Parts: sequence; C-alpha cells; structure tokens
Amino acid sequence: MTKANLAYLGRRLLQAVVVLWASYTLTFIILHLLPSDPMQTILQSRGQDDASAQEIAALAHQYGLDRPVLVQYAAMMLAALHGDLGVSYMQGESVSGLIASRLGMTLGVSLLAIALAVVVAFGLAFLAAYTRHPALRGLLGFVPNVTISVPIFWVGLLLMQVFSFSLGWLPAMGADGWETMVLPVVTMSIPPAALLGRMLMNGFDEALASPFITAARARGLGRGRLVLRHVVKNGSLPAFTVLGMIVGSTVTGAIVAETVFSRQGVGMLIQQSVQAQDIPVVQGCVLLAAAAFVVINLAVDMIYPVFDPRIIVRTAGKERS
Amino acid sequence: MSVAETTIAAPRAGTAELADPSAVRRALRRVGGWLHASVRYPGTLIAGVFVALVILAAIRPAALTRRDPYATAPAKMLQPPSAEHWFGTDQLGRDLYSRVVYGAQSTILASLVSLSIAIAVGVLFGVIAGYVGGATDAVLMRLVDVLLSIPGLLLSITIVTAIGFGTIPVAVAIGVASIPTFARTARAQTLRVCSSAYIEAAIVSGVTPAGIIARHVLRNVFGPVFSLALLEFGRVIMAVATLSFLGFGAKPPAAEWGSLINEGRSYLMTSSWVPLLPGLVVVLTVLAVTVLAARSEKELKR
Repeated sequence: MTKANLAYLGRRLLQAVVVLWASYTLTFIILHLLPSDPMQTILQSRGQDDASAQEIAALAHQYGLDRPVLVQYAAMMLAALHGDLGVSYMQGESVSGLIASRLGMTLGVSLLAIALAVVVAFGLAFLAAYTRHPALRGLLGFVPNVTISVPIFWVGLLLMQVFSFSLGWLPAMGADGWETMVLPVVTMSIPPAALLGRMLMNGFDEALASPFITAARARGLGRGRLVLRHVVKNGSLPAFTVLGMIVGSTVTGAIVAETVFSRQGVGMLIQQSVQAQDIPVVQGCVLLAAAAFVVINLAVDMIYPVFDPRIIVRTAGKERS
Repeated sequence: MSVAETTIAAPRAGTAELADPSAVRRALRRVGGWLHASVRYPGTLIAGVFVALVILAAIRPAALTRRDPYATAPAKMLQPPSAEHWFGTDQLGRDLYSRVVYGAQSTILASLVSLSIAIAVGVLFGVIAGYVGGATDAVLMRLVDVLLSIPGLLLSITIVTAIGFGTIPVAVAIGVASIPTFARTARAQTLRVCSSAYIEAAIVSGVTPAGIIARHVLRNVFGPVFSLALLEFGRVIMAVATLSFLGFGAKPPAAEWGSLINEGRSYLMTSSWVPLLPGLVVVLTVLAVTVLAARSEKELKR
C-alpha cells in the first residue's frame, strides 16, 4: 500500500470517529438539555404522575439523573462504547436488549428492500441508456423524479388496499411467513430506487458522452455489449457515493413501513419510544443508526479508490489547501 | 441584459417626462415571459394552478369550502365520495374535503416556518462564514456539519422527542435539519462573490462591510437560495406530513394532512377513501411544487 493510500485511509478513519462522536454529543444535547424536566418525562412514561418526593429521588438515582450533566455525558459515552445503551424509561428493560430483539426483522426487510431498489434502479437506468427512442428515455427518466415526490406511507397504504384487501393476495399485517414481508419490502424499496435510479441515469448519460465510448463505437463495439461493459461500470461509480444517504433514508422508511404494516421491528420501537418520550431508547436507536451511517460511508470511502484511484490525490489536494 | 435591450431600455432624448419606462418594460417582459412559458409548458401551468389553490386553502380555507371541518354527524359516518361530500365523510361524519382544505393550513404553515428557520439560520451562518473566513468559517461550518451526523429525518424525530409534539415543534425540528443545505449554498455563493474584482473596488472606495454584505453579497446569494428553497419546499412538505403521520404532529381533532391519513388507517379496508384521498392531495401537492421548482430553476439558469 502506498503512502498516499495509507494517509487517505487514516484521514477517513479519523473523520469517521469524529462524526460518530459528534452524533453522540448532538443527540445527548438535544435529548438531555432541551426537555425541561427529565424526571417529569420518566414519570409520565410510566404513568406515575403523582409519585412522592422520595420515589422521585429514588428513580432519579436509579437512572443516574442526579449526577451533574457532564458526568452523565461521559458516563453514558463510556457505557455506550461497551455496548450498554442505558435503561428504558417506560419498560425498565435494557435498551440494547430491546433493540437486539427487534433488529433481525428490520435488517431482513431493509436489506431486501435495498437489494430490490438496486435491481430496479439498474434496470431502469440500463434501459434508459440502451434505448434509442427519446420518448422512452424521457418517460423512464420521469419515473424516478415522480416517485421521489410520493410519500411512502401513502404508497404502503395503497399497496395494502390493492393487494391485501381488494385482491387478497398478501396479508396486510403481522410478521410470520415470507408473505408478510413482500409489501413492506416493496414499499421500503421505493425511495432508494428513485434516488439510485436518478443518480445512475445521470452517471450513465455522462459516461455515454465520454470520448472513450465514441472510440469504442468507432472500433465497432456493438451497443448492447458497449452499454453493459463500459457504460455501466463507469457510470455506476458516482451513484456508489450515495449509499450512505440510502442507508439513512432506509431508517426513516423502516419507521414508516413498520408503522403502516404493524411489524414489531426497530422502526416501530423508535415510533413508540418517541411517542412515549422514552429518551434512552430514542438515544440508543439514533446512535445505532448514526453508527451504521458512519460505517457505510467509511466502507464506501475505502472501496471507492479501488475503482477510481484518482479520488485519493483529489481529496489530498483539497485537504491540504 | 443584452446590448440591444440596454439601448431600448435606456430613456431616449425627449421622453424624460416618463417615470422610468425601462422598469415598466422589464416588468412587462417578465410577465410576458411567464405567460409564454405557461403556454409552452402546460404541465407547469397545471402545477402552478394547483399550488395556488393549495396556498389559497392555507390562507383562507373558507374560500374553498363552506362546511365546518370539525362538525361531527355520526349518522353520516363513512360515506363514500358524492356530490354533497366531494371526498366523502370520515369516521365521525365530518366532511373529509373540508378537513383536507383546513389541513392545508397546518401543513403549509409548518412547511413555511421550517423553510424560514432553515433559510434565516443557514444564510446567516453561510454568509458570515464565507465573508469572514478563517477560523470563524471553520468553526461555523463544523457546527453546521454536526447537524448532518444524524441521518435523514432522525434528527427531526430526535428534536420532536425533546421539545414535544404539535405543528410548530414539527416545523422547528424539520427547519433545523434543513439548515446545512442552505448554509453551504450561502457560503459558496458568498465566497464566489467576495473573490470578484468589484468587491475589492467597493472595499477600497470605503464601503463598510455591512454595506458590502447588504448590497452585493445578499443580492447574489438570494438567487441560488431561492431556487434551493423551491426545491426544498416539496421535500419539507413531505417531511411534515410524515412526522404528522407518525403521530408527532397536532393532536386530533385538529386537521393536518399526515394525521388525517393516520387516523383513517383503521378504515382502509372498509372505507379506503378516508386515508387515501388526503394522501393523494399530499402527493399532488409535492409533485406540483417539484414541477414548478424544476421549471423555475431552468428559467433562472437561462
């Protein structure tokens, strides 16, 4: 590994750690410094509005809220590094336990949704690049722009109405069996598919216009193989960088989809905890999502130079100036 | 303006009594341009009319419906759309169309408040960072970037957890999450303007920094920020509707598009119009705003 490569990797790693720390600090500031009285929130979550002063003090001690703010901040950070995300206000269970029990379901649906989105987006973009009819290309380009404007809670409800209630093909709610996963997966795949589709189409258009494609055409390469081999490989690269954003929007998608289809995943957990103002659970879930976001971006930054080594020199120059 | 336009617009000798014909001509030309564009792009015209209707609903709901959105009539519950009730009635017998019209008020109000917060804070940070530069620039931009460390709508959801639910909290939460985009655009524009020669000339002639910012920087920042605001408007409306759907918006019986859809969820099987029609209005609004934004961006670039 060259020195430039190592320097690049080192910079990205350091950046990732800083972003993770920043997300923890921001979450802590919002959730602990903004609410006027965390004790009130805890009591309301548990439905114990009229607790005595002694009970309040005992609860405060139990949750560590009687310590100064900076101590809480440091202690929570250390605990989080060890995997301890605190205790839920509402249910008194460990936050990590709550998340762990629901993560599998959410991960399964999310990964399938992203996979479906990638397939659909590539298919659309490939068709748009391959076809010669400007009308068809215009129509295909129209699709991502329209679907980006459609809120997924509405799409989910529409799909439920059509496929569950009218046609009766698929179950509307519940979580057993693969049939219950179809509608949530399709619903959740729409925002990433729209975003990826748009980026891929732009990337393919740019690649099609580049000189080396003209050269390949001049050498007699057929359009199908041309598009497949060269345009797709080169045009996909810019779309790769939005992978982090896709993961970020998938978290929101999971919250909405699990609410619409009544699936007990992490998304539903977030919705219920926010509703109950259960701060430790919200903090734990947000931290997890932020960590996933950081890890994905880091992975993208690590893998990107393998495909396009110019980025190392480019970012080195930018950071030096 | 081209040379030809400049000569035509300049007052000719003998017409000095007219009160600035060039300004009138410019205004007429702009209006003519819009009329021409709307005829040439009918999609944009339809989108414009729809958005105008939505804004009318937000400002004066009574202009679009004469019924009371809160009047319950249990005997008439869950009726399908008809001539009398354009969108049908909901589970408490309320006219769904007027609930959607009044719901536009909360949703659009929240979206405008969000955009205002994002623009005000974002432009402030961006212009100061771009103009002063150095350590101030680094600190301000790092602060703004911290807002991006929590992905997507999660930041807004976190803020709403802390400050409580309702239309204004949702607006504040989404506004804060939208600050970085505006800050970056404002800063980029400021940097671009400040490196021009005429700014140097202005500084040398003794214009105060406040004067430079007010007269030159802000005027140049306004264009891209306005384009961005139009694009973001659609996204913000969707975000407001989503948070309201998840139950973090105004409580019933208040009418808000997202919460209307959430309340109607339970009746999807039997009376699908209750959640689906308000949702369709959201879709059409966001679509119309996006079409307008795309068209105006193309026009401004010319």
